[in-house]
Amino acid sequence: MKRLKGFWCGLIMIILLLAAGPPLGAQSEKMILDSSKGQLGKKRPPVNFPHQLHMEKGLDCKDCHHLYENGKNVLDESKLIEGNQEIRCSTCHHAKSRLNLEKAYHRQCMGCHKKPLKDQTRVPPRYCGGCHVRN
Amino acid sequence: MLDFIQGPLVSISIVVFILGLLFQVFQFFRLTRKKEWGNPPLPQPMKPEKKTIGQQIASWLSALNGTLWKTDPVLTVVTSVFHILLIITPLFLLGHNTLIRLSCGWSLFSLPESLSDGLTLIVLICGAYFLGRRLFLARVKAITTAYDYIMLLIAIAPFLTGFFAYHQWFDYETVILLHILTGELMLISIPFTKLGHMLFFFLYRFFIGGEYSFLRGSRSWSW
Amino acid sequence: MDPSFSTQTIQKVDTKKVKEMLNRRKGKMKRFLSHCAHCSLCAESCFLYMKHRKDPHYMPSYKVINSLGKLYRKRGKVDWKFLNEIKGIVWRNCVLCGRCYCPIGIHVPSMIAFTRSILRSQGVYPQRNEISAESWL
Repeated sequence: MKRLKGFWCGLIMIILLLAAGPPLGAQSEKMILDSSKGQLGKKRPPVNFPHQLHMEKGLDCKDCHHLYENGKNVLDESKLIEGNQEIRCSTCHHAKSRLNLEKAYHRQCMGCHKKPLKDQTRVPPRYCGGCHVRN
Repeated sequence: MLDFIQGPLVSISIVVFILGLLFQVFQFFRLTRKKEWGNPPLPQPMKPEKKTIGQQIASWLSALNGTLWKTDPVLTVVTSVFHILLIITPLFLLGHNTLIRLSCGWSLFSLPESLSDGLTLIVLICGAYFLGRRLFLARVKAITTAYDYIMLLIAIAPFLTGFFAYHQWFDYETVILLHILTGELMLISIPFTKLGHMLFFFLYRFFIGGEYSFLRGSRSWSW
Repeated sequence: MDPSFSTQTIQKVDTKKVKEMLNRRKGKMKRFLSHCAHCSLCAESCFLYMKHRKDPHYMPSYKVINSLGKLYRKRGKVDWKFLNEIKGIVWRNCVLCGRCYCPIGIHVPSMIAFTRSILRSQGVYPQRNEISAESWL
């Protein structure tokens, strides 16, 4: 059971990557993804996203960070620098976009975190509360 | 196993639930037929007098005296609230709807989480009241078996575990898994156990003719 | 067992016939039995229940569960003694006035009447001397 938490952590990390991940671990280890700062209204506790952990798990920057053109991820990795407003998730995934920030996070994170447990050494969080942890 | 419970079993339970209910409806109409006779002639109601709004309300309220409200007002309120919330709470729950929207692209609107939380608590309190009746009231005790406790548990467990999961009490991963499992168990058992009164309440009281039928039911049992 | 029943001689029960009768109406009766929520809300609608100081044995649901319900649970494999035990429930404890009210819509009188038919088919019914020997109400 404990292992599932890891899965959610992974999910959070992906979210973080999406949100503001700088390249090659230059990012601070943990990031807070707080929906109350968006236009979504605060409903669940903010997510603690361990960016570092997700990179340690062998995820590539462009597994999460993306800029799609004709179905291809054409993002220039050199742009993934901390503080670059252009690469923030919310730059594209704003309230009026087809995928708002909440949906984007949920899709991106759960896309991996809902996968079957097979061949996973450490089980990441898989349920809502695994990322949206109440204190 | 884990993957099965939170994956295919969810779909299986929903399919069993819906097909089970459809099967029961089909069986019901097979077992009943249209009545050939009309309802016995009832005395014609007197010409409606003109009533003031106050009198109208008073006459509606006095109509309640012919119902269970008169015999057991507490239980009438508890059971009405319980059954309504039993349907409404999970249907308009944010967590459920977020997951449904992710997989279907569409979902019902959601109530604020704090409200859903309160409604869940009310369901649990009502459930505790039912349990109390079963345990301490002679007339309920007389017809209570282990089966009744099990069915009460099956109906309440998804709400109890859901409540714990929302507040993240105890081990979250275990609780949420139990929540999924008990919810599936409840869905599957509805068409085939005494929880079937969810469907048959409407079939019995709206379709079967009789003194207590709503809307003048017009069917009767073939046998 | 009620001593008044012992005046009758023991007879053999045609379980095949009982089973057949039960099966014939099981679509309706088993659904009624299984959908009873055991809520006891029917109690107050029975005047015999009210008249007997709210003795649970007179609740409509109690009467049905312990007569027809038992017949179905035993799948008709019953003996003379058992039929005589439930005889009092369906003839003495219920007068088939039809006033019982079930919130779910279960029709109790038809179930009691059905149980009476089954008993009668096996020659189990109140005897003249029984009725005069004890108070049936």
